[in-house]
Amino acid sequence: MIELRPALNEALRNLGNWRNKYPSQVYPHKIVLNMMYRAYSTRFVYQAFANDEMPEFDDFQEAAKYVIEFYGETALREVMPYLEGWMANNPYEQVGSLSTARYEKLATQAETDKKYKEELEFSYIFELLNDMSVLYFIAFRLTGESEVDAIAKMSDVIIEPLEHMDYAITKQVFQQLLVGRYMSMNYHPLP
Amino acid sequence: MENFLWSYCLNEEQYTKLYRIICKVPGLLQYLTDHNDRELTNHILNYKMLVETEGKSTLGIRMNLELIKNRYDIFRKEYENSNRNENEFSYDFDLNHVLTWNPKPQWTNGMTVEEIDYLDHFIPKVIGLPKYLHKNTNRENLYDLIVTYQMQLNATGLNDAETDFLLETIKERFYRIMDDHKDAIHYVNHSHQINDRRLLDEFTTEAANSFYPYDVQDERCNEFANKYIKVFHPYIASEIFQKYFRANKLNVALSFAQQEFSHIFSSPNIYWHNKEAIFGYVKILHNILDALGQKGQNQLHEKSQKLQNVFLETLYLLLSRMIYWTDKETHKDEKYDDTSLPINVQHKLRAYKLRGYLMEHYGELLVSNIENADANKMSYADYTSAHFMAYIHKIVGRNSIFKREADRVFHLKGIFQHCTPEKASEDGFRMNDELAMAIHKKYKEGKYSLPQKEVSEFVLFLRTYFKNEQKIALESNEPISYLQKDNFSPAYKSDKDEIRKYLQANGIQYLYHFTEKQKIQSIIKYGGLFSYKRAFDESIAMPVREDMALTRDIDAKLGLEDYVRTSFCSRLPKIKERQAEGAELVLLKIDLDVALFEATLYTDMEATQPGMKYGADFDDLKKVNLSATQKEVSKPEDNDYWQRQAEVLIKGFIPVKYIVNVNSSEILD
Repeated sequence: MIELRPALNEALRNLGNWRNKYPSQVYPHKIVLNMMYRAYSTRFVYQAFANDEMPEFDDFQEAAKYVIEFYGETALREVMPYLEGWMANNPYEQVGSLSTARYEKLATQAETDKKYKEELEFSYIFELLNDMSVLYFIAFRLTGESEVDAIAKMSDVIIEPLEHMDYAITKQVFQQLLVGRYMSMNYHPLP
Repeated sequence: MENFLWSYCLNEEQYTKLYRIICKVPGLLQYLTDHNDRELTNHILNYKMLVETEGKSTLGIRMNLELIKNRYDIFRKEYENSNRNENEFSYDFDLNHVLTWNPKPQWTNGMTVEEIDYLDHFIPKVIGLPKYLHKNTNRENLYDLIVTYQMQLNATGLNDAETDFLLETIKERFYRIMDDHKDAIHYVNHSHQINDRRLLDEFTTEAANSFYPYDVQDERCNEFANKYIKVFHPYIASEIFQKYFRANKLNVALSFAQQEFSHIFSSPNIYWHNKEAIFGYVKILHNILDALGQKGQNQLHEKSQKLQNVFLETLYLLLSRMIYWTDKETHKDEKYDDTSLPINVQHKLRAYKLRGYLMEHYGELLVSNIENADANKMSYADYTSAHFMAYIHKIVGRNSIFKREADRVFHLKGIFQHCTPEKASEDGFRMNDELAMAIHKKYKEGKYSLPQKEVSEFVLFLRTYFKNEQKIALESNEPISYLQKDNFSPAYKSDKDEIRKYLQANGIQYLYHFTEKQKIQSIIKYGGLFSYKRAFDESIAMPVREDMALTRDIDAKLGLEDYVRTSFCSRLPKIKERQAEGAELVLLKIDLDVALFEATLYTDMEATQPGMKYGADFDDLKKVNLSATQKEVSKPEDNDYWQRQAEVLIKGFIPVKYIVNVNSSEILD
């Protein structure tokens, strides 16, 4: 099974940072901005993978390093400059499992209500782990694993082959097989 | 590989990594073959422009070209760096690139070229910073340097929002890098602290009014616990846990403990950078270690070696975290006083002592295959470190209880047969450091994470064990083992009734203890009066007074450091001395019950006087000149001057329920 601990750590670190940095009215919206940033970026990475624009590797670690660097460059160069425009002009666009409109609504409620803030923080962590799972999935695929084998290696679950996998479906698969379970065992709400 | 001139700085593996990506960019391999020289970066940029001009650019092509450029840049810098160190390669010093400095700053020790290179992107953007850093290459902590630089900029009005953002980024990045390094346990990442200040301030204020002063039977106390049960803060949980545990309210105590176990035995731990939380964790685990004792540990071992191992190693790690708290930092923007929350020097002393104890008693369980001699050295090193730290801070004199503990381990555990004290201390210090770092690494990898089921199993074990001990105590009419230590369930002398009658017949109604008025709040908070040794165990701040440090040494020399000193006499001469120094003192009346505790000692005169005799038997009490102790006044030239000050020494702790006037203590004029 894939180790999601570093990703969870990263998510918690980010939330801690932003909580300290931003006022309570701004903080929830920063979370949404970052959720969408990650979603758009991961979707681009998935498209590049699906378009066969990535090399193959002998070793998973090396493949994962490549995919994560690819993700970093994509986020920086292809998403960051345009993100706010996309979110403002197309808030209902479904990016994988997210849409700006849905989470902005939650963020507004979270400005004053702790319950919604916790829900938003949970969602941020949950989506980050899901997106990381997608990147790891791509890395496994780049080492020559089939879709079914890559999913099995990551989640210890063997499933029937899916007809068509895209970014949104891949996320759904890992939500059900991996991240949901992982969160139930390892997630503690921030105080 | 030899075909490309730019590959001069690559090894086989690096070349293969780049080559794979190059092959994935349509047309690039041919382009590089046609343009073969030592400058790969320029060709990548040119090719990027070319495909864009031709309208062939895709996201995959753009990103792959970026990755090739970035990776090559790092590989080349690694090559230059390694060759420069061997003096085979020289290149010009560039103030704006830390990588080119020779020697490199100490804060780069252990960093990779990639990590330094990352910081190199930010440092030159702050005007004057490279020069400042270059002047201070001997400092180990970049965070500290940046803080000082920020203060300088603020003082001169040169700091602006953009500069400050860059400086914050450098600080944050430095600690993030350190977080992934071997000695991460020595660093505290301030930007990753959970902001719990308001919560803790609220708790502290409210607890002082609505929790600490009341017995757990009081409804106000229960309301308070109910209010905080869903807060999930380790420090708060530990305070409530301890109070209920001492009162033998196991269900409430263990609910709070269980809450925190799910934080303690998890990774990442969201409270890793919060000092009060770390203190709270230690408090819960150490209370349990103490309560279980060897018997409980044996039963836990039988039940689950894994649980025992996780429990002990996590406690060792958290104690190490307290010991090393901010020790790699010179800038500490934290002020402490008597009532401040952890972690200050007192808490570090406590952690040293507890870790020394843990290693001495459970060393072989903490490190598989460790030799006894090494475990003893580690224990010795911690007691020695505690002694030096306490001595430097004038809390103790040269012969402190820590020193005595260290000497005991050195001689009785046979360390002296292998090496000198200095060598033992040096080895022990190093081994502790290595063990703490190794356990921390495993902790981060989730090796000590327990699923909810195992946490519940552990709590069930504790509940069953403590219930059993209660049953045994009830059946045998003995104290409850896990509450005996601090006299929450005391053992009495066999002739207690005779002693009580004897004291009452001699006009003794209470025992007395004087203290500073401002200490009352602390006595209420901690639930009683501690011996000086137990005060250290609980990390209660002691006043820094040289004469008291010496008194403590004398107590330690006589083996009386673990006793609370009370007197038969309510007007001791020392009261006047202290008042003359300006102290505002109060007199506490102590129930006679404490004189009947099994371990209570009676001294025939003031306990630090040469020739003083003491013992725990009725006969020792009979040697006390009780009529002298009841005299209103006495002068130094009187024969019974010191006898009047005879003492009753209570082992460890006097719970607050025995202090009859704690809420209305007599202020001494």
